[in-house]
Amino acid sequence: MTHRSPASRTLEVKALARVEGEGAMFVEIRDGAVHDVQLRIYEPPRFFEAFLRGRSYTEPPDITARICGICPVAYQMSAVQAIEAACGITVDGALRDLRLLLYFGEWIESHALHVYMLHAPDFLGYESAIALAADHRPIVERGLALKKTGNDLVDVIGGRAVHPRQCARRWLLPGADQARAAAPVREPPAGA
Amino acid sequence: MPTKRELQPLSESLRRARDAAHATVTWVAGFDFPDFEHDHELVALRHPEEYAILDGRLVSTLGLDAGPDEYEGHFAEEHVERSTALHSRILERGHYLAGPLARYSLNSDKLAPVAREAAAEAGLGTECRNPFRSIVVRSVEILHACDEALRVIERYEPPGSPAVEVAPRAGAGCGWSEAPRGLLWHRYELDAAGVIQDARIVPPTSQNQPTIEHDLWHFVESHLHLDDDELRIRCEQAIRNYDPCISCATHFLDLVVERS
Repeated sequence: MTHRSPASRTLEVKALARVEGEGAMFVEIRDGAVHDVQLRIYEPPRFFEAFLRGRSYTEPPDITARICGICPVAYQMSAVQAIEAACGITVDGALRDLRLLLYFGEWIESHALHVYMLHAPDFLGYESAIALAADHRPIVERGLALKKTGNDLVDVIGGRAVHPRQCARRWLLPGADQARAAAPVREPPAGA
Repeated sequence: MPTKRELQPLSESLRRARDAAHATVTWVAGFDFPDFEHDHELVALRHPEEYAILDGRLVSTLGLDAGPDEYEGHFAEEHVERSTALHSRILERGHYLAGPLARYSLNSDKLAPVAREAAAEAGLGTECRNPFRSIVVRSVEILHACDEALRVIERYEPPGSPAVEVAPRAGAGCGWSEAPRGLLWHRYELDAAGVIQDARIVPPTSQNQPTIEHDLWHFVESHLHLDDDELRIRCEQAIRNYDPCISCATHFLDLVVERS
């Protein structure tokens, strides 16, 4: 996977570890200078924008949340605000506070995951958080406890820890249930 | 809707989390960081009172100041040769960086005091341009989120109504927020019945993709003395600095960039 000569070499990692999704890295050095750098992303496209067409305006928060299991709230919050802008609505006060709490929960769980599980092993010379835990168990446990606090916040405010649903159904995308009943569009498949 | 009492157990665990977050900042601040800085244009939301997360104006270190409807007038996504991937760029200026380093550098004055103090103790100035130190900035943001969540729970009173009526109307709307990895912009076009005619989503990882490669290029250039294994490990770390979410970058099929 790695070739060496005095001034020319290529470095290649075919499947990057500790990133969300599937990607590869390719670096080529020729005659002592960088010749090529590529971050190759070979995960197939997912066509979310295409299959949102024809759906009800109440559905993007639930559908786009499925783009990411780590930051579903970000998709819900950007989606819900875009739709409210289209409909001329601004949400503030206590409902906005609930959105903030939900989002803080996501920042805590997502950042704790990256700091402790994905990034810290690089700085400490470990190949994974599992290996890190063998030598530094209390530290990794602290990271897991932090992540759980973030997940609990999303759970209590959003109804469940991943892909929360309350925000779209009841509190935070107001009127969603009535609009769903009235909109002349197909229902999403179960679990969508 | 949650009652005030239902949120109380969260306050208890958030107080413990705030201590753990503080300890996290101290822990990661002690790591060794390569001497590596960049001068990318930094792009993040800015809110008049808050360290922007949910909404705000989009600002940059080079003077950008835009609302969500103006996004398409300032940014373009383009196909890169030999690839179906889309690369975001600021019109006229090129690549830019979104995410924790941009947020921190543009908004450190809006952090909760406890997070601002921890950042200073960790050796961060008012801005941070070393991507390897993003782990410190993320830890500061965890601390900020714990502290702010506690503040919001304290002032929380259940809203009078759990819902505000949203009647559909024909037209387009744009919205954005600060995902953990950076700006996430959505645009929807609706007909009068609320059926979606068009949708556009620009996730943070596709915005940062050109910048990640830019950094990799310059990192390799300045670390050619490292042996292959060490250089490869450092390059992987340089990619992880951005916490890329490849599954979010829904447009990508295969990304290849060549520069000569």
